[in-house]
Amino acid sequence: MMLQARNLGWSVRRLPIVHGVDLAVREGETLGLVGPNGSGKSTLLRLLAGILKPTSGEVTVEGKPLSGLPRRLAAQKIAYLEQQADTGEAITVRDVVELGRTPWLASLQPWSDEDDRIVAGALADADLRGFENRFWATLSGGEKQRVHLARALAQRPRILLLDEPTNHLDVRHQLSMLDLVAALPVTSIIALHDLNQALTCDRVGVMAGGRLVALGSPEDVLGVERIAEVFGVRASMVVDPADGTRIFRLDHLR
Amino acid sequence: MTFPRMALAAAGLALLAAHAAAGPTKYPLTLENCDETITFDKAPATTVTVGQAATEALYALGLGDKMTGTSVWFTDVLPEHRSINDKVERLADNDPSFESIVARKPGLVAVQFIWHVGPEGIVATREQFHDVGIPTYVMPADCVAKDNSVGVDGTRTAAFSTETIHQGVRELAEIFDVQDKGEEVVADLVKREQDAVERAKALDLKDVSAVFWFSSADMNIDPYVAGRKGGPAYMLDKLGIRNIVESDEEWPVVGWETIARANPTLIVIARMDRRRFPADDFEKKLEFLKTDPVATQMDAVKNNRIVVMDAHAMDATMRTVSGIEVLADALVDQGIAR
Amino acid sequence: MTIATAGRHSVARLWWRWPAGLVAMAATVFAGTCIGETPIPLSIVVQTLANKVLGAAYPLDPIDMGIIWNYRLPRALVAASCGAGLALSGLVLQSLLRNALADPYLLGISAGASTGAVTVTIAGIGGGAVSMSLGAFAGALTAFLLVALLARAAGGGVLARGTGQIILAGIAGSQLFNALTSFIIAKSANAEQARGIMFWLLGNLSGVRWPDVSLAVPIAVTGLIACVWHARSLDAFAFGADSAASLGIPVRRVQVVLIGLTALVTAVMVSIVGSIGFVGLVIPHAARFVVGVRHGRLVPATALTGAAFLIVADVLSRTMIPGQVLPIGVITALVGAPAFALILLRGRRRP
Repeated sequence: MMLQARNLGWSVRRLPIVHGVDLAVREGETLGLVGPNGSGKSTLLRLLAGILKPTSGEVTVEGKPLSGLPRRLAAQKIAYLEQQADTGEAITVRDVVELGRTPWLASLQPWSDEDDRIVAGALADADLRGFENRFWATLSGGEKQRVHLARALAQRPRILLLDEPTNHLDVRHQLSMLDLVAALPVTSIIALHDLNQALTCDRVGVMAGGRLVALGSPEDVLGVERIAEVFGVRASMVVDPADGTRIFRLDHLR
Repeated sequence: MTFPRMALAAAGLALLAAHAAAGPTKYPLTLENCDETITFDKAPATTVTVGQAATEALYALGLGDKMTGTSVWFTDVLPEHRSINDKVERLADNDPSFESIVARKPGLVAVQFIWHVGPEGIVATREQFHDVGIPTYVMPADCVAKDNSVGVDGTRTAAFSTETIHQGVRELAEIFDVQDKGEEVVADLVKREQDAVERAKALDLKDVSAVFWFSSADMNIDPYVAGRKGGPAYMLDKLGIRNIVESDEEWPVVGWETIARANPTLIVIARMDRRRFPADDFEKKLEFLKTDPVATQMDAVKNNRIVVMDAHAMDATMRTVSGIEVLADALVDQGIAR
Repeated sequence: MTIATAGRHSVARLWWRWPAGLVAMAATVFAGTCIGETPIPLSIVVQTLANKVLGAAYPLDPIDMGIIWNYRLPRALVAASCGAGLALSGLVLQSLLRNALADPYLLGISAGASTGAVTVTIAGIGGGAVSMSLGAFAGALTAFLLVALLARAAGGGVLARGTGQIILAGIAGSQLFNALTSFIIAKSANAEQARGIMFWLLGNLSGVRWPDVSLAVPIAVTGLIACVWHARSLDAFAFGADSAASLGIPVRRVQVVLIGLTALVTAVMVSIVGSIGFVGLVIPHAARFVVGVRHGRLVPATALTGAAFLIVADVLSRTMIPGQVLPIGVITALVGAPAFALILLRGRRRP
């Protein structure tokens, strides 16, 4: 297993935010994580990234406990994209993407041409060519999100943890980001709000009240009843006559 | 005794005689004192002092029995006033509180430094005292030709002169209707000063320079030295010595580099009871002069021409005269003649 | 300007920057040695250095030689160390706490130093065996430890992701120690005494001699090395501690090491020369405007700018009014504020 969580939990002042999560992700798999606000998706991702120390259970990466891994080695394996990371620094797009090389460079190790190549590739993948010298403060929300993705790509991780990466993105970039992530030879876990996007993942996990209440293929997990139960909305499945793709139509419960 | 000295002594006696006939004070008495007008209907029955110089001036005038409290002491009282001082209550070693003074219901508050009762009123402002019907008198040495709003210890607009000391003694004498005693005290101060000046003149000094080192905030730091218009500058001027410091501030900070390169003939260091900084101790000052790699190279240090002087004599007080005497004696002892 | 592209690609090709920086630093120190309260010809300065360093035997006035070797050179070296140390401390705190207004005195160090100084000088603790500098150092470290403990107890600061707690703890600590200082002064000194202490605390380089150099220079160099070593880690904090952690930075260890070192550097500098303001707050910003936000360049630039700035300020404090010395804090603000305003206005023109 690429990434595995056993009985994973995290509580603050004895208030459990995430508890009893068992999860195993295979190499190359794309796992969608859905759930209403406050269901513990972000916390779970931070636990899986090793940024939060679990208060119960453990996370293993390729069979080895994450907690025993030095931060730098962990960051060489796992890249994590925060939901809203901002800065007041007068930093350029290229500077941000170059940060992605941090785990691969020892303190005084010089920057190499290989690093340059990787950064250029990451910028291209995130459709950011021509943005290199733009200052962070001049970017739109969607552009910032893409820069963060490029930074995560420059990290050359085996596992990509993305917390609502499609927020702020225009429709075209939403689609290309998901396509990009799906096409990458990496294992990824993506927290999503859009249930239709979740349908395109290999598997989907549903979070509610800090628990992983369901895990399986999108068709099995995202049933109309469960959506009503977890999200409190009425979902109906619609089929696109053009190619037979199924999409959700959502409405208030009556 | 040389001729000029005899002449001066005679002049002093003549002065004394002239004023002795000045007669009693006519009340109500109105005085201009440090930008305030003060009026007395009669001689004050009691007085409280703020500042050692004011205290000692009143003792010298024989008014110890009218004093009901003293404060702001820098050093031990002069030996000749010790017995009377033992009978007067010391309200505080440092700043007294306003209420402790008012509680004595004094007929006058005599003050050495204006900053105790000035606009910032460390004790209280003069208006506060006047509001409760207590007149204040500030020794003119601290406000005549002096701008106390500039510089840390104020800045003199014109050079200090012992004239302002004499003025203070005379005005206090007038307030208390002891003018004969006042003239006697002044004549004595004048005579002592002239004697010292004569002794220095006899040495026929040429190109002798000096610096007055009061203290330093830390041992190696730039020192506080006497400016060119205060009491020490007056002493030097009277004795024909050049002050290497050219600042109007009372105690400016001047770098050792500047002092060493000016290379004064004489270094005067202050002895005091205060122990706020290590350099307050004159032994520490001596130690610095004899160990600092640069200071040791100064002519004054090499030839051991270091004069220790009581710090209180460096302030503008009646003790300034003893400072002149110490300095004149040092010149004679050091053999700094041509 | 230079931020985006200037020679990022290979550190190897930029090796000359380090010797160039060292030469610039040496030149500034030399200038600080040449210029002083009194004019001393350049030839005498050079001959003095030759006598002392190379063992030459030029016949020189011992006073001139002493002034150059024992007053000016150590002072320039300590000014450089102090400027570099304070500026780096400011930089580290601004980066780690992501607060542009952070300065080395934020952690209660300056307030603690004044309490320590007055405890020794006015309250007379230590019975004369403890110097004002030692008192200030002890006070500074005590204050910092209290602030760090408070921040930790509040669940943030040095040991967690939140940075608000340590700033708030610093404010609380500073207030407490300033109040203690006032209390000691009010209780056992008069206004004149307080004035003397404040003079010292405002910063003064004139008392500096060789023993201070042997303390200040190694501390500043240690600080510089630590910052260079952690340059990439500091970069990684641009988007906060979580982001730094996800980039492989051991956040907690880096914070503890760097903030602890900052406190030590600042405490040592304050105990040698008093709290010289402005340097720690403004120099890092000035350096950022010139070389950008990446710490690989920013760290040496900040150290160099801080060192040069304080040497210049010291020289100005001694030469502005002939024959008299101004407090250096006055100069740092007087020269620094307009210079900074200029940088701000220039920086605005960039995108």
